[in-house]
This record gives sequence, structure tokens and C-alpha cells, in this order.
Amino acid sequence: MSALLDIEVLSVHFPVGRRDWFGRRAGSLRAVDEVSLRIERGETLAVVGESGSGKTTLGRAVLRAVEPTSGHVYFHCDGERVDITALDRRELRAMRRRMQMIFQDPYASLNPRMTVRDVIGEPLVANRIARGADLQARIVEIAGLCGLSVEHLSRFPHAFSGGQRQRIAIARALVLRPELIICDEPVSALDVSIQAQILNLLRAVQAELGLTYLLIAHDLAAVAYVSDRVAVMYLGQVVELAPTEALYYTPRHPYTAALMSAIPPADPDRAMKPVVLEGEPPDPANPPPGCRFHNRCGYAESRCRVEMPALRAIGDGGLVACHRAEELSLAGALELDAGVLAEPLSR
Amino acid sequence: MSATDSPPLLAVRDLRIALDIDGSLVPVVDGLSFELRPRQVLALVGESGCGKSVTANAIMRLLPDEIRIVSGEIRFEPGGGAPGVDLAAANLPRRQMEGIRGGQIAMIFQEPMSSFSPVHTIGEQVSEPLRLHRGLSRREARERTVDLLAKVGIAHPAEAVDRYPQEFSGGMRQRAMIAKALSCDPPLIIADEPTTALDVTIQAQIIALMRGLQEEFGTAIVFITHDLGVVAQMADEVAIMYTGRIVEKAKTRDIFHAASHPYTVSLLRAVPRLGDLHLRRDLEPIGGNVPTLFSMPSGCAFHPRCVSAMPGRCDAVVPPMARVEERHEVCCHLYPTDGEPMP
Repeated sequence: MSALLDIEVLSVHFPVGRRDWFGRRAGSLRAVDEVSLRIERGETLAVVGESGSGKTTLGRAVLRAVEPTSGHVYFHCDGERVDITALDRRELRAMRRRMQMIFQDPYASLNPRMTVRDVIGEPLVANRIARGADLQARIVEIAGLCGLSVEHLSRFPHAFSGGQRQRIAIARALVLRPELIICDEPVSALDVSIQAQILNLLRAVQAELGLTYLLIAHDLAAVAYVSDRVAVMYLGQVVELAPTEALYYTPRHPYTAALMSAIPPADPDRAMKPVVLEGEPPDPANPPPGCRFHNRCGYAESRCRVEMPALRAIGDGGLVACHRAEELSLAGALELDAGVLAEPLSR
Repeated sequence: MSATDSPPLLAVRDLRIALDIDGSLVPVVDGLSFELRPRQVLALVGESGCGKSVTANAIMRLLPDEIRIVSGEIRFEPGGGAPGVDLAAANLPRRQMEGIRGGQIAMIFQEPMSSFSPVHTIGEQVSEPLRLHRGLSRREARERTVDLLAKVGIAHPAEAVDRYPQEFSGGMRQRAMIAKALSCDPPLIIADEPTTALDVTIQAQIIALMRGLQEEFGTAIVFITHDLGVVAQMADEVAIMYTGRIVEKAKTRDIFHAASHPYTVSLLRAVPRLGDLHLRRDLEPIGGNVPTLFSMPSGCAFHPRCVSAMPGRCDAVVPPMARVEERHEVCCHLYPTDGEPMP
């Protein structure tokens, strides 16, 4: 496997707070705080986190839909390593053909005044890649791949259900034959019965076209079946990254374990025993010192309150940012499934 | 008296609700019947457009003008000497409904931000039912509100009463909404997707809170959700809805371990189970799409997506409700009725 994308110490800060005399903001919110990730060609890397974790901002910063404050994003193409963060507008526009995005809400992301044919074909026209019969042939081919028929093409988006709209959005993203797709919550607005359809479609077109996915989600359950690796974010930082099975079966970070234990099991005989997180996620504009999770963590000790843990390698190909990762034995999906929960260490 | 043999608190009988488009009626809820006993939690489960929220709003008489109750009955018996009432009656006096709403039936909404006013403090809004229905003075209501906020786990309740909803996080606002719903100790609460807008760790807190308070206050809850995990953790009984009808109704255990309707079975299969990852199982979607109000299939509305559909029968005849077991009913041609009328 070779790398497709290298994210290196990427940060995105948003100015917040009162303006001073010169209109400058006093504080800054570290939405993404020195995140480093490598995405391999052909893999699906899921980034999971709760609201305010910075997952969406991270996805957008990769495309420079929001400008990173510092750090670099390198895209490997044609044997070169292109620094996306250093491109000018024209170069960036050309580069974006290789990276496309799928959004959460298929009701908001499609222009209601355009037919499905025009929605899907627009990127080809805007980039002057195809026209005439070639354009039509490309539209029909990609639509077919996404499970849309020729009759669908002359209709308008409002005539479609949420699942079908997401198919249209996927076709539009794929029509330029990109290498990387950033999927921002691609199924969370859809009904349960449709979610699996769309996830299976994403997997099928990935195999067909050799795509790489950065899959952003708030829900550990939704991405479990389609990801090769999963990164868990908390307050702008990656706290754990591991191959999917390892992350779910042997979580190393207390936050990952808490997140997993909070998923209500779809079985009335298995009582939900969530690891109770004290309080609510802190304000990202004012994160706690030391480990950002320490004030909600049942395992925190004095060191955690002052020293921020680095993301480091730990066994089975995973990375974790926790001082105590080696000594903790956290319940994974199998223990939760069996209704057993490892007793938390004494406070 | 156990919950099962007490008289129903709420009895919905053959309820029909329609969307009125310039006089032509498009059915939204089509012949819905269910009962809820005191202290019971019933989950109405279904995907978007199945009519679960419309049903909730009909019980509260909060339907918009273009959606109206066509026929049927929503019998509400609050007990404790209070008279029973048919909430579906067209001539139900507005004043009477206002007395019931918030006093005898409270509602918890999905989005706690849009259901609180930003210009009044949390205290003013949580205490509103107490002043309105219980006639408490401002001071009494405030004291009671501080107790309620403490009960739902809001830190520093004495200060929190004077704060505004936008100063609260989503989870805190939902706690405040629960406090407001419980303020008059109503026998019935309608909870419409109360945890859907919340993060999963906060959802776990709210489920635990609601379960604890439900036991303590003995409130009956109609719990509306699309999340089968939440259902399994909250409900005593479950009604699975599809396109305005109940397709299966049973005790929660039976829904999860003895699901009978093909839709329920497929829905349960489509839910990812994290403990199955090493089996490399594929996700099993339900094919096709949920039909819209204007393109409702003939016969059983689920037949175009059903793996067990029988041509000539399922696409022609609407299946009747059949009882497969005690307190377990299914609306599907696979389960023939034995001629015995349903109660």
C-alpha cells in the first residue's frame, strides 16, 4: 500500500470572543489541533467524534474548504507529493478534481432547479472535461453505477427520496473520477433501512473505481462495517487510531471505550451500562490543561492533569494518546455484546 | 394492580388523519389503534413519513391546519377523579385542551433549542406549567423549579433557574425540558425523538435519567423514535409503524426476539451489531425506498420491498391485524386471522 494523503500537524483555529479596538478577536477556538494522519491509497479511514470534536473541520481543511491555520496536507499524485496547503487558487481548483466531497444532507446539497442530469454533469462542464455525446455517456455510466436509471436523469431532485438523493450526490462526486472522497456523515440523515444501501453502494463503487475514503461520522456503529481504520477525535485531537476490529474489540483510550459503551444495544435483554462521563464536553475555546479528556475520565491521575499525552504507537498497529493505555483493560464490543463490562479502576 | 390489568390511560381506536390539499384528503395515519396503561412505556417506531410524529401531535392537538383528524377516537382517562375525554373529538373545547396540555399530558420534543424561548429564563419556562395549571405563586413555582432542576441532574440549580436556554448545552436543555414535562406530575408524557439530536454519550445520560424518573414518578410514556437501540432500552411495548399503519405490536422482548412482520425482521437486520465485526457480515439493507404519501402501493404498503411478498395477494389486499400470540399482533398475510375479531 502507498500513501495517498499525509496530514501533518494540521491546525485550524477560529477566532472567538469579543473584538478589541482593532476588530481582532481575543481568543481562538482550536477546532483542529495539530492532527497528523496518513491515508493509504484504496482504504477507508473513518474519523469519529461527537459534536465539537473537529471532525468536520478536519475534513474541510483537507480540501481547503476552510483554510488551515498551520500544518500541511500532502497529496500523492503522479509520483509527486503535492502540498495542498501551498497551492494558489488555480492550482487548487485543478487539484480538487482529484478530491470530492459528499455531504450529510442530500436535501440541501442538490440544486433544486437543475435536473439530475445537469447536477451530475455540472463538474464535467465546469472543468471543461467533456461535452456533447461524451458528456452524456459519462453521466449515464456513473448514474448507472450508483443505481440510478436513465429515466431518473430528466427529473428534478425534489422527486426523489433521501436515499436516492444521496445516490445522486455520490454520482456527482464520482463523475470527475476523483481519487479521494471525503464523506461527511453520508448516512446520518437517512432512515435505517436506507443507510445500509448507501454504505454498501459506497463500498461497491470503491472496489470498482479504486477510491480512497475519508469517512466522517458521529456514530461508531454506522462506520464499523465499511472502515479499514478508525480514528477517534476529542476536542480537536485524535485520541486513538486503529484498524477497525482492533479499535472496537480492544479499545485503548478510555474515551473510545466510553463512546462505544454509550451505544444502546438493540436487545432488551442486554442492559446498557454506559461508562458514565462526568459532565459535558468542555468548551473547545477553553480546553482543560493536560490531557483534554482528564476531567471526564474515570482513570485520570495527577499526571493526566498537567501533561498532554502524545499520540503514540501501541501494539496491534494502533495509535493512542493516553498516559495509561498499557495498564488499562477496557471493555470492547464483544464484552459489551455479552453484557459484561470491565470494572473501571478505582478513582 | 399490575400494569396489564389496569384500565387503559390512553386508548387510540381506528384513528385516521389526513393531509387536506384543497379539499382532497391524503391519508397520513390510516386506522391506527393502540392502548397504553398507566406507568407503561410504549414506543412508536418507524422511519420518516410513517406517521409517528403526526400521531403524537394529534394526541396533543398540535396538528397544523392542513392536517386533520378524519375519524377515530383518542380516549384519555387521566384517573384520580378527573373525567375522561376524547382528544380526537372535533368539538373538544379549546379551554379544556389547554388544561390537559402540560397539566395532564406533557410533551418532550426532539430539538430542545427550538422548543425554548430565548428571551425567557429557564426558570420562567420550566415553572410555566406550575403557575398555569397548579396556580402556584411566582415564589412557590421558583422553589419547586429549583427542586425539579436538581432532580434532572442540572448542576447548581439555584443559579441555573436564572440563566437563558442558549447558555445551556443541548443535553442540559433536554434535561430542563424533562423537568418542565414532569413539573405537574402528569400521568402521560409524549416524548418525540427526545435523544435524536444529542451526542451518543449525552443520549446515554438522558436515557438513564428518563428511565429513573419514569419509575419514580410512575409516568406513562409514548416514546417516539426511529432508533431500535433506544427502544430496547426504554420501552415495555413496541408498535412498529410503516406508512401510517401499525404493522406489528408486541412486548419489547418479542419484537427483538420473535419479530414476525417481514419489515420488523429486515429492520432489525439492518442495524449494525458491533460484536459481529469479526464475522465480516455484510450489511443487509431493505431494498427500494419508503413510499411517499402520493405514491402509496396497493394492498400491503410494504409489498414492493418485502422478500416474502405473495403476488396476487399482498399487492391486492390490505392485510388485517392477526394475533400470533398473547399481546403480539401482526398485520401481514403470512399470518392468517382465525376469524376471531381483534379486541
